[in-house]
Amino acid sequence: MTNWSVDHCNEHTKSIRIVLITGRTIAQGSFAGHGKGWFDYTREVSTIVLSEEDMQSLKVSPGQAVRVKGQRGEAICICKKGDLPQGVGFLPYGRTANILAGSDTAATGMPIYKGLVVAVEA
Amino acid sequence: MDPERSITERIVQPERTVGPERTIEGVACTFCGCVCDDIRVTVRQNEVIGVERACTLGRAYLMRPQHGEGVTTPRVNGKEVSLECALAEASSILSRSKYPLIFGLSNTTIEAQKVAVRLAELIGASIDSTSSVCHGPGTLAKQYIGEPTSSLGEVMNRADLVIFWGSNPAESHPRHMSRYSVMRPGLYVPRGRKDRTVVVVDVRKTPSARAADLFLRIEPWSDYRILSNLIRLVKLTPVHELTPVHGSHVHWSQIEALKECSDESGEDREGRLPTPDTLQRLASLMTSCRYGALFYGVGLTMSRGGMMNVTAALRLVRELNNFTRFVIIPMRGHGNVAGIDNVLAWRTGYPFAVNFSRGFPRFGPGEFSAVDLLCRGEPDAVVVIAADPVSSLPVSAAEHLKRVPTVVIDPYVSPTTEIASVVLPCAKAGISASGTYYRMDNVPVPLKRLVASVYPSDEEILGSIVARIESAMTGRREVDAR
Ligand code: SF4
Repeated sequence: MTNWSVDHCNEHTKSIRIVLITGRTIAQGSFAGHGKGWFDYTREVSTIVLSEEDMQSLKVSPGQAVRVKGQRGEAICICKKGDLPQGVGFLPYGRTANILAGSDTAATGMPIYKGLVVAVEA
Repeated sequence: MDPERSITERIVQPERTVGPERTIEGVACTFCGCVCDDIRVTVRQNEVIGVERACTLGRAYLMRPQHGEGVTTPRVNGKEVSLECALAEASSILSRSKYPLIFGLSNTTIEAQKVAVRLAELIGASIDSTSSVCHGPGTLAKQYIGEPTSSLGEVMNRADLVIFWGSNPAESHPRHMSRYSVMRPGLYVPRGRKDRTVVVVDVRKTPSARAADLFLRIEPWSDYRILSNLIRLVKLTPVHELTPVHGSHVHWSQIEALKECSDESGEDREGRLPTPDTLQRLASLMTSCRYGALFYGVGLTMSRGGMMNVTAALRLVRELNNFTRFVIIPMRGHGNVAGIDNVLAWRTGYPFAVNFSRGFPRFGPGEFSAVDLLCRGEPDAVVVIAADPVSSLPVSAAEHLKRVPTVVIDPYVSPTTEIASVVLPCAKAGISASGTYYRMDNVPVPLKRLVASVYPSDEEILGSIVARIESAMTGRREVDAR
């Protein structure tokens, strides 16, 4: 597995580059079923899951806010520890993911939602 | 409800039946592509008060109150108006527009979808569904390779090898494994789960991976490479060596060998890159099963080169059919997203991203697909049916929606209804409107109308807009003729 995060770790700003995967979670799906205005929905779609190693490099603990910078925009997310390889992050589908996703569809109609390279700053 | 009452009358004089509790069996849940039609629903006074057998997602969706927090009154520019007035404004916006877009359509009935295609033809619009931002690249791949497929019932009765690639059914389609693909006993797999081997291939260890016999963790962007390697390995396999052993569906020796091989290479069951040996053994597991099913999710379509990923998966399954029966089925997300692909294909010849601006259908993913059109700022009016593009499309696409007149037909308030010029509340398909949905395997499932609604269905609203625009056009032609 390519170690994205260590390659691109910046000691001074505590910033790492990761490959971000967005996807469905049960909580996100049920909140969407209930109605998206819910506070819980917003919290769920703004929670980024990181590997233990990446959280250590960033020196953040679960529940702390991090800044996630994509090609098109940036967003503040709450971080959470998950069973992921180092250098890979996960964010549920939603408005935050759409801020980070680019608009290039490579003539397929589909922007890239999985495998986005983003910077995460503590 | 009297069908003769006009849709505008109905919203002024709401009809609410008052009665005792009723339990309705065999209700279809319309939230995800599984469209489970074995749900038991209890209703009282036009509200769903109980849901049994559905998963968490289905229950949340079916129980969501119909009228309390929904869009209760039609609105034009934020002001409450009569339905008549909202329909007139919507028709006038669309008649005036030069390059409109019709988007959404994955959570409505095929009857409404047919009328939406008619509307697109009438006003020379581009029409695209949320399919383009979920399995669109996969649909393009199918046009090149074809799709060796089957119904979910066939998988349930026959499949002894089930592979989920880039898909996490435990969270996206929670009843898929229990109702169709893994747990349920079938005709040729009478012991259900015990007779099946389940493999999950994914970038992260999902809850579905925990339920599998084998989980192969792969690197992001490596799907195409791994699928191509598998194709090569399958092609190199001599057919005579791998005639399936009839009467036995157990591949335990093979799966154990596969696990061991992963362990030996230092990549445990949650391992990282599958080694060449792992792939070789996975290939022989695939070629020697009696009936294999590969379910692919948006893990293949939403990453870079989505179309090529699915092309490789389809080619792999095509090759596997030289050895055994193997099928491939996309894990379609929204309830009726398979329906809109079908309806558009019957009506226009193309499954999504269709444009009628020249009076005949043209297909153009990247050109007429919603994200591309909106990001380039081209449409001068947008109709959104049963979707929430402000939340679900990239921000630059959503920004354009705020700049142009937007007509939204939706049973609920959403960020898209907030910015809409015209909001038309409608009955919810499968709850207060009947119709047909297509399951992910393209099997049509009829929907019951469980409760009465004061709101017209999407089909009625779209039909009314079409009728208004047609009569205005006829009027204009008559004046021109005179
Ligand atoms: S699996 Fe899908 S269709 Fe079935 S009950 Fe759950 S949400 Fe509804």
